[in-house]
Amino acid sequence: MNTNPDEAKLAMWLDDELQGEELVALEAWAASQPEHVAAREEVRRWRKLVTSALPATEEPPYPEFFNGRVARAIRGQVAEPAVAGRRRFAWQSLFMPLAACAGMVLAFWMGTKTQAGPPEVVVAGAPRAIPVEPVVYTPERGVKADWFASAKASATVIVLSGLTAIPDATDFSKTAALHEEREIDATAEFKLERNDGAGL
Amino acid sequence: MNRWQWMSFCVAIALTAAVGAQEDPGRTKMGLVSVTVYHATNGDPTVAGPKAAVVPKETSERLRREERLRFKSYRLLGQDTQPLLRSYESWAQPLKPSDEVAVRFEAQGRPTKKTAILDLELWLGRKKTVKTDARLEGNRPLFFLGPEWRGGRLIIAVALAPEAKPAQ
Repeated sequence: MNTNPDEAKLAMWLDDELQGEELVALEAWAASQPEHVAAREEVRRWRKLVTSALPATEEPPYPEFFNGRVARAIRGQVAEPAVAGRRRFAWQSLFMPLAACAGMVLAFWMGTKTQAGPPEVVVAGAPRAIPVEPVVYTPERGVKADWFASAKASATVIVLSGLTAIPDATDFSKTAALHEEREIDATAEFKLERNDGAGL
Repeated sequence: MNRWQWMSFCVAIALTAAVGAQEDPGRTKMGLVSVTVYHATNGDPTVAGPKAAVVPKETSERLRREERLRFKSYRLLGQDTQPLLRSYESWAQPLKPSDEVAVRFEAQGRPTKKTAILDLELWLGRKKTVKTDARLEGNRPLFFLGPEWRGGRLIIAVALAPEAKPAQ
């Protein structure tokens, strides 16, 4: 049977904190351990020495001064972040807009420099910008639209096929809105003339 | 509510509506778009009718330069110019009161003096025939080679129109 005490009980025994049956059991064990008994005596001697040198309790000198220092320290801890916050806000309110404006001016200046830069270098065989064709949608079934840019006519052309012909009986000459002088569009910069040559 | 209070209320409502209508920024005119209908034929051009006008040489030559639009003669059947509004669509009816040909358009963005990008629809016979996004430039119109009529084809031209000069 292992009769050696564990470390925790041994520490309590050295500090004279062990009581009851545990104390009795450990005293019985220590009777054959002179080195442990000597160690306990040494601890007891140091404890007595310390107790005699230091008072059990001591009031702080100048308690008002001490309490005042504590209160001041607490106030300082509370006030300090606010001061720091105000400083950050002041910096942001002053310098951040200035920095943003400077950044925009710089970006604008760089943009103007980019536009005013040297002309694009044409490399033989390199693809140029691809013109994006518009989306042409024909909802009617059977109708097709062929879109192309006509350089000769300087126009965009959509050729429709599959349309139902307008009946020949439809007479646009009775409804045509060519009764008075009107603005002429850019595509038809001409003077309107009647078939008989008289201007409208 | 007595009579005067009632009349004041009505006047206030009317004035509010009038001011609101005047201040509608969506009705701001940003340009003019003209739609012109030509009758192009290789046959007898007089079948278009006595009111159909002869197209000037400049326009006919321009049309003839493109092979797909090349015909012997062209006649002007009708034209309509409508404002290009900031937020609202516009309808042009070049053959009005006939609605055989109609063009609906609205701006896709803020146009410049020379260029406008439109959401454009061509309606033929009260049916939406084509829907496209058209880029119009000052001297670069959009031509539709349209339906057959009396032995020829209708050509519908959509273009930016110059602003009307103030009356002198």
